[in-house]
Amino acid sequence: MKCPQCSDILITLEFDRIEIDYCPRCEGVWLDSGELALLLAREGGSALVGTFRPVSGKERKRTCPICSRAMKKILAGGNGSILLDECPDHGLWFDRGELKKTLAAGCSGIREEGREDSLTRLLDEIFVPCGEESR
Amino acid sequence: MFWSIIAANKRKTVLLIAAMGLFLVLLGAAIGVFVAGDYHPYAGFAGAGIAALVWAVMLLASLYASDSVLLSISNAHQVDRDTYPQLYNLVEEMVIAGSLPAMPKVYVVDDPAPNAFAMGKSPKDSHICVTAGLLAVCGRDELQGVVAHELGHIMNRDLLYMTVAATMLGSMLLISDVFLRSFRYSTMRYTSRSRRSSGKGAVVILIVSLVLAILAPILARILYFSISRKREYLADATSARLTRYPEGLASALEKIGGSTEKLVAARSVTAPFYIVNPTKQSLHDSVFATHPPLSARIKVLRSMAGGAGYLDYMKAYIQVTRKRQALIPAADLKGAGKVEIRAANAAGPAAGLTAAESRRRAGDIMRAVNKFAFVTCQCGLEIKLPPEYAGDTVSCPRCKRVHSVIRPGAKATGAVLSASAAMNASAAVRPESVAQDYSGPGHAGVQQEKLNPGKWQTITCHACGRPYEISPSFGSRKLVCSGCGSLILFSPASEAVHHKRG
Repeated sequence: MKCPQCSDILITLEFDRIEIDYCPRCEGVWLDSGELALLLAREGGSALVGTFRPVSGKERKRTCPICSRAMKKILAGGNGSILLDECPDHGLWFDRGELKKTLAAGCSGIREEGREDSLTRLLDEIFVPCGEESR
Repeated sequence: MFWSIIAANKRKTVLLIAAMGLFLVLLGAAIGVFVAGDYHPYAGFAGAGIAALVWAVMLLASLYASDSVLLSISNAHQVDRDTYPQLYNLVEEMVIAGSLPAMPKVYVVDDPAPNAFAMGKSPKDSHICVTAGLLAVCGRDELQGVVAHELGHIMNRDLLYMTVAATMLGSMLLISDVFLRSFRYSTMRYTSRSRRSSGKGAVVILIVSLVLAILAPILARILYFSISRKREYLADATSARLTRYPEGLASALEKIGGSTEKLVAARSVTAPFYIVNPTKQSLHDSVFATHPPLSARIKVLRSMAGGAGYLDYMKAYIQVTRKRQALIPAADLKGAGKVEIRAANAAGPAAGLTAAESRRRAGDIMRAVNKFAFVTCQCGLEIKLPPEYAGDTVSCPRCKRVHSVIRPGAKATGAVLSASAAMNASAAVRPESVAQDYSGPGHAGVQQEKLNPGKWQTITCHACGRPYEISPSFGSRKLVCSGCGSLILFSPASEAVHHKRG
């Protein structure tokens, strides 16, 4: 599969029974359809998927890495702050940092200790390791 | 071996080819007379000739090209000892147990739904396919049961008949379709001059050919769908005997039947080939069912008390299905000895996998088959690199360690080891721990074993600990361990005596 953003080859990462497709160059993440729901269900935040709504974004249209058709832009999160790309048949594309934001939005307000969720912590570890967040 | 069943299968195949040929020629003649009988006195012969030609082409296609066509529409990827040793070795063990003349080609089908099928015209040229989903959910005993079931089809010569029937069904559908189209066309053409009818003869021919054209596909379908039901029981019996562990197959069938994944690649034409019908199956035992009800098959296997031989299977079959009719002809049961049920394999079944987990494992298996490189970082992250990945190194996105990429293909590569991790029941087995257990061909030594003719025998490879079940009909003097390449030599008891004398 090729990265929709920079056309690099996507590699698959697996950690603690979670599997994602990841672009080593632009650090974007591809999730097959249903995978986000599975991830969120593990954390108890499955209501988030229902908040997705299509928009006509100004951002450049990207193509689905599986079927090469143009993906639709969708807005996610309570205040609609995260702009994602979705192929209705195959899955979702998250630019660098978008997956973390989406999951944070999905899991907030469910539990007070939601921040301690293993998944959010894990993604922190994978994608923002060793205090790189300030960069 | 079920010699009389094998003979019956061969006889039925010839009969089927001949009957279908005759039927097609008659149908072709009827179509010819109907379409152009008014103008050309030999139209019937021409139609028969065309039908015969179609039949011959279909027959040749079914004998020479059907395997590759059916395999390619099923999304099958061939694997060998290097790409998937776990599966290949398992098939090899069962081939030795069943003393087949040649090793079938082994394929993995890129599909998360668990299922399996076999293809081939003769035991010398056959194919065994299992889906990635089956590999993901089945433990070693279960997989062995399924593989032995498919080998049972190959041994009983079921596949030739099924392949021919599949192709014949295709040709009949084609011809009747052509006829119905031409009928529509010619009725349009004839309506204006129907008063100038050529008499009663034409009407009779019209009715006969119409009936033929409507009946042909129905008959073909009934014939085709009714063929594989008793065969499934027989292949189950063979599986129980080869594995000496009926529970393995029973539990595999349960998992296949209980799966909610739908097989993408299945077509109604290929349905009878699978171990469990992949298309929608009704609960009842209808005329159109390609397989006997799954619950009955599992029940028969589970009722086998006291032994894993054909006699025990027969007893259980009669008890469960309450059928008087013998499943296995008496002639084939002569000399069917007692076969003890063996204990369950130490590496138990992969129990309690969630749908997501088994899906992910199926994905890993497909990646291994498709030559992905697997790198496990010390920080616990597993990186899976597609063959298109160009770099020689990969940096772990989590801890930034840099790993060199070992491409699959060479012996004992990351991909192979990781696939074995996926096969093992415990998700905790990481590739490193498997690597420690793996001893390459360099450690090979020569191991001597005494062969007891006429008895089942269990031996283990001294170099890697791989167990082998040696069938009473095992004829070879040597065995190359499929796990580590060690040579195991057998000295038959009688020959040892002979050597002493000499």
